[in-house]
Amino acid sequence: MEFEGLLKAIANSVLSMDEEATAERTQEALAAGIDPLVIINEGLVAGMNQAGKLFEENEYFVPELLLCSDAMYAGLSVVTPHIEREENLYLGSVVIGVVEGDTHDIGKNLVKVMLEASGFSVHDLGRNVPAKAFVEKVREVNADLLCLSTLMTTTMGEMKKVIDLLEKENLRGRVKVLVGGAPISPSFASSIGADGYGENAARAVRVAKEMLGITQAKASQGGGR
Amino acid sequence: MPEVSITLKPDGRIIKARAGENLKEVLRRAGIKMDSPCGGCGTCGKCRVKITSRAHPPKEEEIKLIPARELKEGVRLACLYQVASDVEVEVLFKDEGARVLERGIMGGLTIAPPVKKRRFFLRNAANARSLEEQLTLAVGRPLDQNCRPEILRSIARGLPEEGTAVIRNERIVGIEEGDTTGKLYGAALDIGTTTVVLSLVNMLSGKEEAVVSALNPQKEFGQDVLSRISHAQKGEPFLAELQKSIVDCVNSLLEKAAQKTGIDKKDIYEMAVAANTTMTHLFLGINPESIGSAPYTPVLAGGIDVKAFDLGIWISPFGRIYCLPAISGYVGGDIVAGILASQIYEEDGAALLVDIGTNGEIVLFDGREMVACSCAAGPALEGGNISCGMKAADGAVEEVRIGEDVFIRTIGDDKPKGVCGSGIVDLVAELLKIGFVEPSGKMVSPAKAQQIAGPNLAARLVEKEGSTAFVIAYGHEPQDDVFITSRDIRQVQLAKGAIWAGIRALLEKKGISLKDVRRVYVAGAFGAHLRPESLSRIGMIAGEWTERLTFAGNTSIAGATLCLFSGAKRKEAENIASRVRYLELSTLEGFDGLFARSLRFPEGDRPWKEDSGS
Repeated sequence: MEFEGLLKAIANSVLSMDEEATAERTQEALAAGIDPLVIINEGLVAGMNQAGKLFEENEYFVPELLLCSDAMYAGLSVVTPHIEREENLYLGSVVIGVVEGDTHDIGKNLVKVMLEASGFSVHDLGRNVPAKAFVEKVREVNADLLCLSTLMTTTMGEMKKVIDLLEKENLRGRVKVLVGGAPISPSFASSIGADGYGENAARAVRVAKEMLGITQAKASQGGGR
Repeated sequence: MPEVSITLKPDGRIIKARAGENLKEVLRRAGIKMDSPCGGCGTCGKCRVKITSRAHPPKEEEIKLIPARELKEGVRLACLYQVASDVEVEVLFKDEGARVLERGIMGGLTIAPPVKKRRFFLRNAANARSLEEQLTLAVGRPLDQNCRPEILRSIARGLPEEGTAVIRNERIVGIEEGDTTGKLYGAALDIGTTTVVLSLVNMLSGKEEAVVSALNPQKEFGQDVLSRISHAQKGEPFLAELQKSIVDCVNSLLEKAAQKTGIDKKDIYEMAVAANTTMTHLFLGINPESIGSAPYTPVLAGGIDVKAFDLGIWISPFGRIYCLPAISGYVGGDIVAGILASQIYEEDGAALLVDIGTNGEIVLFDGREMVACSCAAGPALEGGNISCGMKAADGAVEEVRIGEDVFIRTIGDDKPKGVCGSGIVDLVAELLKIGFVEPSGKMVSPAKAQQIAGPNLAARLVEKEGSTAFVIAYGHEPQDDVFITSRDIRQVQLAKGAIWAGIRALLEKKGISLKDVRRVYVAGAFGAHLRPESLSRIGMIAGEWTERLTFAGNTSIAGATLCLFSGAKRKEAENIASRVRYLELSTLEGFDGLFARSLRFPEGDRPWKEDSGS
């Protein structure tokens, strides 16, 4: 019961964007002997998930989301040294980037933060990324998910190039592709053969989990970092 | 592919199409032009049609954008609809007109046009060795080298005993019979992504004879420059289509101005054009594709002087068109014109020029030099991507005051149909004032509203489209209400945040503090009907700038006019364009954080002070 209260307090301090309180509560939870992975999943990540939910409901916006993630990272830096085994910490491995020709990466960065906060291992290739670089990284890290972003109508076509190249390299069957950005619509996503569309950062995470068959229960058991 | 018939309701016209064709394309071919701000991506919901026969099941976008009741009645988006068999269609959204801002402040007008006329009498040069020499002696000027063969051919066809020479840069470029020295007109042109404005002027007196405007017909290919570039990307015929579209528009504006004044288009000898970089490319028939992807380098940045006939612009056969130079792919000749017209570089101290549109452009003069940036503000400030948003046309709410209740003013004093840009800014400012929107941008709950406001106001906070909404004007039926939702507030935040972040990035770059900025010019149609207090209340400009703000109007046409009248101003424009430094925000270190911090609205009713933004 006390455990539950502590975990709830951690989640709440993440949700209320309080870095200091998050770190303190995390310390208390460790001292109380709660498993670090449980602290991460049922405290820190749970708080971040609630923030994502508020974001989707227009209660929270970009600044709040970033501040929540700062709080979450503050808690993580307290708890990670106490994790003994590194294997199987992640929900999955993700490659993310803004397609070639586009340098606008604010949206992509937000999705990255949300994915990390949800327990994915994220490989960020940055902006203006050639199709070849995406494909190579997917192969190198054996990615479960590839996230492509663009703000500009003029570079939407690059997304299809990446998917076609995955196909050509026989990698398409191994990786799910999630696309997003201002000009992207669900119809466009399906017309280029993407597996999913993320309307905003919080939704992207939800779609990513759905696509990879990760249920909430599974996420809180096996996931974490 | 089998052929299908599309019956248009209510007039019964039938259009043939191939099965599987896109409905919007088919309608466009048939001459039915619909607004398509998103360029046919299925994201803006403007190209609504009602399928009165059996409609396909709605797509995901349609379920999001169209109320369930209308979906049931067969309302769909034409851009997402593939015609599979015979259908009956009713077009719901047609083009609407919009108010266009036709004038702006204009500093330093000098009338020294590069084109002149001079009367000549051949008998004054009787003993020349050729007819050419006879002409040049009579006029007292040599022939222009580029026009020489053409003029010689015309001399051969018959040289009038007395006539008028058209002179450009002290060279003869054409000859006319009789005395036409009293007829010398010019036109300044502002080609905006949304609107096109043409000012017809007397080049001798400097008097403006007429000013006419139109919506840029290229809007059928999308609302913003990126969708136009995407269209041009598809290949030469598409580029040609875009060019023809704007050239036709300019010709019809010339015609309209000519009719209004009784001036013959053939008496227009000179034009000056200010436009954003993409619009300039399209007007000249140059593919702007390179502007559409990083590093966004345009094909052309310098000023250019072309023969009007070469572009298919039907003014005098000796007419020429000058297009103002650009600073970068996203800071174009329209901004160079704005710098010229506002003369911010003459300011004693730091000054800002902010042009607000789908792309916001900002220029900062630090007292010595200028730096500029462009920010993707999105369409919210022009009424786009907002539930009840609309252009500044009749029936648009343009002013909002909230006291005990809500007071509004609409354009044309019409029944309120929606809210335009200035109304949206006013509204958000007022909602912040009464506490219905918090500085974070969150709309309060109806329960909270009852605690902080009177019953009249609190009752206006309702649930609409699945989110909290504030009703600005009640309609006869709830679906006719004009309102703003919590999601809309987020769109406004993104727009104002982008501009405020752009301003702050330039100030930081130059190490200028808010209080050191002596003057702020807000250019563009958006600013004209706006209260400075509302702009600072939502935090798009600093609170201490409210008193230093000048709404400069359409500085693009003003700057074009300056260049029309003076070769020296053109040199100045070239000089400005090559000197202003461009700052690319998307690749700027730390811009993410700056943008996120700029999204917040200012606290309480205190003015927006320096430290509250970070």
